[in-house]
Amino acid sequence: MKEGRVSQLLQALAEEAVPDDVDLWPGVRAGVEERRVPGDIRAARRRGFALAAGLAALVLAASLIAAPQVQVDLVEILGLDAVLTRDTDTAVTVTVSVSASATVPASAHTGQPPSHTPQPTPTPLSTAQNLAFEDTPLPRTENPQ
Amino acid sequence: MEEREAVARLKRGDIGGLEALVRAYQVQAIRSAVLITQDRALAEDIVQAAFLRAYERIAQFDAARPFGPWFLRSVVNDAVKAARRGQRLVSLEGKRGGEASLADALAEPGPGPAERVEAAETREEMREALGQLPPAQRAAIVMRYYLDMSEGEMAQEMDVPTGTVKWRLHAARKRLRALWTPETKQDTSQ
Repeated sequence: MKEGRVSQLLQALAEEAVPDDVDLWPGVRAGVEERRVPGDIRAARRRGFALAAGLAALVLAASLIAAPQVQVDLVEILGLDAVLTRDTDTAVTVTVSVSASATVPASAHTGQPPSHTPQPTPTPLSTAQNLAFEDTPLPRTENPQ
Repeated sequence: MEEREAVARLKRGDIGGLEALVRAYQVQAIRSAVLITQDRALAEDIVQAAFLRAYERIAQFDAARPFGPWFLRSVVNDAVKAARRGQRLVSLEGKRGGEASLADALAEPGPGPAERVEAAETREEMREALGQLPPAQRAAIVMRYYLDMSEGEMAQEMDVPTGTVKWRLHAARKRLRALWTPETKQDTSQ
């Protein structure tokens, strides 16, 4: 069986089974039109979600930058002790030590300023500022046995 | 309209681009699918669905590549799946009424001389032999000998090594040779 004969026979079989004037376009066009509307709605939903997420991120970032007190509160809510010290005119060093207990201070609920952490003059943080982190080992608990 | 322009228009959401591609590839695609499924209605359904999928996924298509092999590969894959499922697969011999079946067409010798009858018989033998191949081997034969793809193109489109393609073709040819009756090997005319 030569390969050329196989090609010839397949061609003949295909031509006899399907005429040249077959036209799928009306069916394809109808299918496209059916799908277009839901597609547009899906695209509009995606754009809406993206816009809402962007706005939320913007508001959060703006509030963190504009309200330094929020930074301190957040650090405390997360169970961290923060000490802000001004080293130079342009750089701020933030020393963060991880506390063993991640309890939420009362001030986080009452809105009162935290009492146990020294409160230096709040300075807005930015990426341009030098942030140094120093971890303190967690206190070990004795094994009861 | 050139193929690249049609693809570019389709990527912009212009349905005119799709129309050009449908007109360019529909016949070849349906014929490829019918050789694998041996059912024209099923083949048309497969190709129509493939065009709709191409419309939805055209953003993922690399416009630097030719559209034909990408699209026809998709049609062949769908035809293989459909043939495996056996959905709407009707024996050509048992199909009556409505449109003329492939078997009916082949059995009809027409007004030509005796050679035409022999040629029709040969094609019928070929069709039967093809129908007895597993769908994947049928697809390999169709891609190589009907769509005229090289082994390298087949490997690229099927995302398999060239050696795999060669092995599949070898197995398909061997089986086809065994299925094809010796008498029909002598003359194909046309």
